[in-house]
Amino acid sequence: MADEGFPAPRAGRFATTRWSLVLAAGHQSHAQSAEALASLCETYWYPVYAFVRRQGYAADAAADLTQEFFTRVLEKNYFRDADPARGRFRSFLCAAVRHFLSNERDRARTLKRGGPLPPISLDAEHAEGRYLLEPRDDLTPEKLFDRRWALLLLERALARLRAEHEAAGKSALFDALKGFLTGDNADVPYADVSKTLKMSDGAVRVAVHRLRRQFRDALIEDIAETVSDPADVDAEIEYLLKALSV
Amino acid sequence: MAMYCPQCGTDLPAPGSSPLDLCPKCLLSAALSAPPDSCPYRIVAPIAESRTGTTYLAQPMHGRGIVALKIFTDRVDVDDVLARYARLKPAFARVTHAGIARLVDVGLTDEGLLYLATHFVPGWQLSSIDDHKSIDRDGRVEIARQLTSAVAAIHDAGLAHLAIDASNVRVSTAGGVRAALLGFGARMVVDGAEPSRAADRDALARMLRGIGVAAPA
Repeated sequence: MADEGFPAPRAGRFATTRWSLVLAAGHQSHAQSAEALASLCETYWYPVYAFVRRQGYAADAAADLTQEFFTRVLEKNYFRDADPARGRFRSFLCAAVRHFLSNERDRARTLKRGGPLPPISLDAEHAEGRYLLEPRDDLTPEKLFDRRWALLLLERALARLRAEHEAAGKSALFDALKGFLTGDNADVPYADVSKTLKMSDGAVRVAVHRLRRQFRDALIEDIAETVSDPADVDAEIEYLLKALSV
Repeated sequence: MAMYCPQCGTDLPAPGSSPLDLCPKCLLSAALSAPPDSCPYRIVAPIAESRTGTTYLAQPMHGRGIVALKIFTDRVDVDDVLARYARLKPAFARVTHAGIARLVDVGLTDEGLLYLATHFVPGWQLSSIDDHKSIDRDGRVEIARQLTSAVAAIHDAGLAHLAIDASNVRVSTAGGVRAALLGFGARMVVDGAEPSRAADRDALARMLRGIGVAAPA
């Protein structure tokens, strides 16, 4: 699969991905790994919130629990027993929050409000607004977590691509070609787009091709940040595709 | 109300629940199915556009240097072009004159479009020589000498340029006057034109007269 699927991320980049840094730190307290973990949590907190909500907690309780979960993750080196050889941040985070909620229920603990500042910025109102729009009630918390994780990765890759085009003064090009990222769009022929952009058909085809490759590269880079081994990237993508197919 | 992708039938994220306004499954599937890059060049920037295609500044994926990569608009005769290139390649490889932007490669992009890569030559067009006051009479004669020598090298290899024109010549003055012919290979390989030394000589003489230099005998 590795030969035919996604190219492995560049070795130099992979050596310093955030999740591999976290795993490499192991039991030791390491400022760089703590920062890497905080950054990952900051990025991927919404799937955790959706998971907690889908477990049946009300919005306020879910926000508190999510915040508490990340506090523990960041303060207590939750991942010190993670096996670097089989590490994917998504699966560890999902297992960790499941374990955390199970403990919370056993102790029937009432969460205290206030206290120290939360470790990550969690916009509870925004999160709940998004959660209420989740289309399916029959998804298990785990499936919802995975679906949200996959969506987040796609959103981030697309947003990065847009930002790069904006910075290069090519927003119009991006907007006109974005629809082709899901495949050739029979509803919008290349000829129409080339007329709008005042480019030749051939130039539009090349631009679409470049955009697809850029999107793929951006996606791979983000996924690579969450796995500890380049060989896991392909498998993770296949997993995410399944998560979006339910 | 749930919305479904008309293409794959899966649930779409509800508006407002995700900034993604494309079907996530189709998006990921398309990224997954993108074929590996078979075009051995990485495009850097477009530098010219014409009726027949767009020319980009590009870098080889493997190796160093910069090429001018012309990607042609849809053509139905790409197999003929590639066959011609395979046949003429040894002859083109013999032309290594400094006054010619050498033909590097002809092939197909991942989209199946024909490309032609030549060495990139920086500089200004010979057609704008009157704007470059630093080029005196001797400079013009030197340009004529270099271009005449370049055309002779092409003919010595049994080939012809067939597109000699002031807009197809780049001039640089860094480290002395240097002139180079662009577009070598396009007419013979891409268009299938027969080599004609007489046509090249006439075009060269016309071009040199245009810069005030008598054509060589």
